[in-house]
Amino acid sequence: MTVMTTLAIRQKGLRPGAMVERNYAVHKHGWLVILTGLLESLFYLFSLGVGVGALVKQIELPDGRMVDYAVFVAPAMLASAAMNAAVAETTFNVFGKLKWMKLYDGVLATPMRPRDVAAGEISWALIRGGIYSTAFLVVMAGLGLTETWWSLLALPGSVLVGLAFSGIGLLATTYFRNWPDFDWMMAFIFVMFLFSGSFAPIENYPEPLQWIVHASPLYHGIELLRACTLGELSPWMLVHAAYLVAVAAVCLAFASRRLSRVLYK
Amino acid sequence: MIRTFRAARRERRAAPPGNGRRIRLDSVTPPLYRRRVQDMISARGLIKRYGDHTAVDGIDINVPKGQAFGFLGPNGAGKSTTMRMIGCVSPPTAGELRILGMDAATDGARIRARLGVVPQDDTLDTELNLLENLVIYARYFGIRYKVARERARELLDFVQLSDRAESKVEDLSGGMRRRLTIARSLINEPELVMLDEPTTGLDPQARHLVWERLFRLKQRGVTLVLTTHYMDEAEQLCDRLVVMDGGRIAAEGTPRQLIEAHVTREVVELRFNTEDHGTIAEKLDGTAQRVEVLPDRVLLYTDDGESTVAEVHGRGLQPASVLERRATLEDVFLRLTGRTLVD
Amino acid sequence: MTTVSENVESPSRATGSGALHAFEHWLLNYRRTWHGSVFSGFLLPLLFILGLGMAVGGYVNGSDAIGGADYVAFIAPGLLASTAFQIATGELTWPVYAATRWGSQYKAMQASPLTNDDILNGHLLYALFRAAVSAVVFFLVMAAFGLLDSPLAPLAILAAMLTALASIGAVYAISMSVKNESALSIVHRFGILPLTLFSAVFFPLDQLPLAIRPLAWISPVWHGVELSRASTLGVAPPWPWLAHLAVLVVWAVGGWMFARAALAKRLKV
Repeated sequence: MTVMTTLAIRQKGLRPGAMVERNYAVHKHGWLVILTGLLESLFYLFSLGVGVGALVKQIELPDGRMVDYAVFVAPAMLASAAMNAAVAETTFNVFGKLKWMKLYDGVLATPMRPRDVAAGEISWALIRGGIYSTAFLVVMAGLGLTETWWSLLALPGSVLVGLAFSGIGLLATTYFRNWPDFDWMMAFIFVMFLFSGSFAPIENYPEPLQWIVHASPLYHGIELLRACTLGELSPWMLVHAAYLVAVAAVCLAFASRRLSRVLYK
Repeated sequence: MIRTFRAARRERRAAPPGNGRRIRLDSVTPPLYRRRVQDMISARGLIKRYGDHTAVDGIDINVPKGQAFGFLGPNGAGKSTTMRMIGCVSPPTAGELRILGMDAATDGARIRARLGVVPQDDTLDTELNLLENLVIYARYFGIRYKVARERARELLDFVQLSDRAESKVEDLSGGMRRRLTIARSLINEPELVMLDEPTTGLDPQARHLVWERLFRLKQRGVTLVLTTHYMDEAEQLCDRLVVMDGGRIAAEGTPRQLIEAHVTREVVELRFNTEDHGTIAEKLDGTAQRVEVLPDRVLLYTDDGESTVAEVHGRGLQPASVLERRATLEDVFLRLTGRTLVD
Repeated sequence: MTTVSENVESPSRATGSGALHAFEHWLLNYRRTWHGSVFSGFLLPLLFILGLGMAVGGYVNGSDAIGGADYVAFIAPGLLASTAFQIATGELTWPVYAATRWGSQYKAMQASPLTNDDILNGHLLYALFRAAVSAVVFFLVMAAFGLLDSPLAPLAILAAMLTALASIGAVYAISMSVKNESALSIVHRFGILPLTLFSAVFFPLDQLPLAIRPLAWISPVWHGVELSRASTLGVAPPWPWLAHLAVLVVWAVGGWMFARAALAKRLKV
């Protein structure tokens, strides 16, 4: 009996893992694509961080401390890299498998359930995003854009950002009908990228805009990662982290349910 | 009596995920329970509705172990929907559905673990090669990697695709894809294999290869459930079949039984060089049990073709061509589901 | 459909206006999908202006590094040119790939009296048309924001179109020749994106390390951006404007020839 139970539990635990394995099998020959994904976010760092940073030089934080602009922007680029990786994986890729390749229809004929598929895809998105974030953080450190050892905390922080956005991405995907819908999603993502305090403290924004920005998960991600890489630890970090976890939990719960409805026709 | 019930309860509690265990416990299973287990599929009043549309309208099915069971019917008859419900990927709207002795509504994952499925549109993983398709699919079942690889190799061999193991799915012909899908459905050594139109769109060579492989599965004692609209396929493969139409079961039985019950033993097809089939039909009245007039020919349903032909000539009719043949399932099918196009 | 039957009646006429017929084909397609392009062609540069202008502007407005201009006025003409570049090349990556590998548009055109040059020019013309629409709209937005400081400002539209013209041939040739679809993502990430980010749109070229600058010197986008900026700010470009123009023309002519060769090779197979 106990043998059976442990077997059953282990089998359950394995299910999302098989989805990850599948994605790994697809990408093991395509590391170039993954590498270019990393470079994409580094290009943004060099252009909008280092390049524009050379114009701005120094920036004053809300607490009066002066830091190089690139140091200020880099964690925002890290957060948006984590966001982009998660969103790309859970929207474009999942949509392709769901609607075009009909991959999940095949997968669901096995003991896999929609929630296993969801968990597997999210895990994969986090693994891929985690690789990006690690490499990005190494480059940041190499360029002298990390101020303290607390910067290491930015890694779990960026995984949290990835988790929240893979939840959002997956949920959105279950509602998408066709490619034009993606344009609107990309617009949404881009607006968040520009207006989540990436390029200046949001205290510079007009007051009403500040309130809207507070709802943006990316804003909380950026603030969290920035606190890590600038070494400005505060209890607010817990609030930011909690917000990201809450977004992830709500979206994943709904996404899993939506996925069941879409797939179990 | 009390003892056997307790044994049955113990069995039910212990049985779940493992397959090996069930077989051992079968020996202590009371006869009543065993009968239910031996019915691989049993459906009572199964209904599936999509909004206002009723795709499956209250069907009853029993498929015993080891049987090859066929669903026949025109497009939209509800065959694929029924298959999806049995495959536990489409929850029934109403009715009872038990598969391998378990409830489809609550035990989906456990049932699917012991099922092989060949869906109508393959759903192969186009981003993986053939071998990976099978190995990864095995992993979805939680089969150990090493075992998965061994079985994948064996199955590629079984469907004669070993030399294409590293090919991309996109480079396969339709027949090869179908064979790969069949191989994939066997990766978990299923007790029940569901095939939705296994040979539609294949060339004759590919069809015969698939039939031959399916026949070998049947010989091994695997229960097969398939849908088809090829009557020759149904006659070749199925021990028993149901004809579905409009979401209901129109007829049920062995191929022979269906032919005997719904048409005559033989059919005579006559073609005339005239358009005026009405007059001809009048003249033919009484030559056979049933006369069916089609735009291009007249069919005479009879138990004795030879004497019917003689009778036709005896009445002074001169058909341009005469074809005398055995009645087939196709005749049953057209009789039951009509000749109007469904699509 | 009507275009084809017209061509059959008078094949001699088709050779002259064939490119226009091919253009018309893509235009009809666009009528069904234009709303999707509102974002990339109009909203995206506008958001850049608002977002970066608001955030960064406060720190760099009037700084010497950008010639004493407002930051928004500095990046807007750059975005004008780089958006034209992105729209035109975007139209020639996946759509070109799809038209020859997945879809049958090219096959259908080939079966009509259109020549290869007609097919090529028609598609390029359409890409330019898309770029032109977004350039004009964006220019009007700049005017509304009061970002045009020179009477020569309308020349910026021309500069943007030249940027597009200089890039389309090469991109078309690449899309026509690549072996698989993932090569296109690489073109996008290694070509189109860095060209946009490092061609002096967001910061002047002299902020880049000297070693990298030659890469920008050969980039058509940089030359287009500088010409565009010179027009709207009314300042002299870093190089003599004839030199900028010459590079763009070389890119345009060379690119077109490559595109032509690539198309001939693909359609022969």
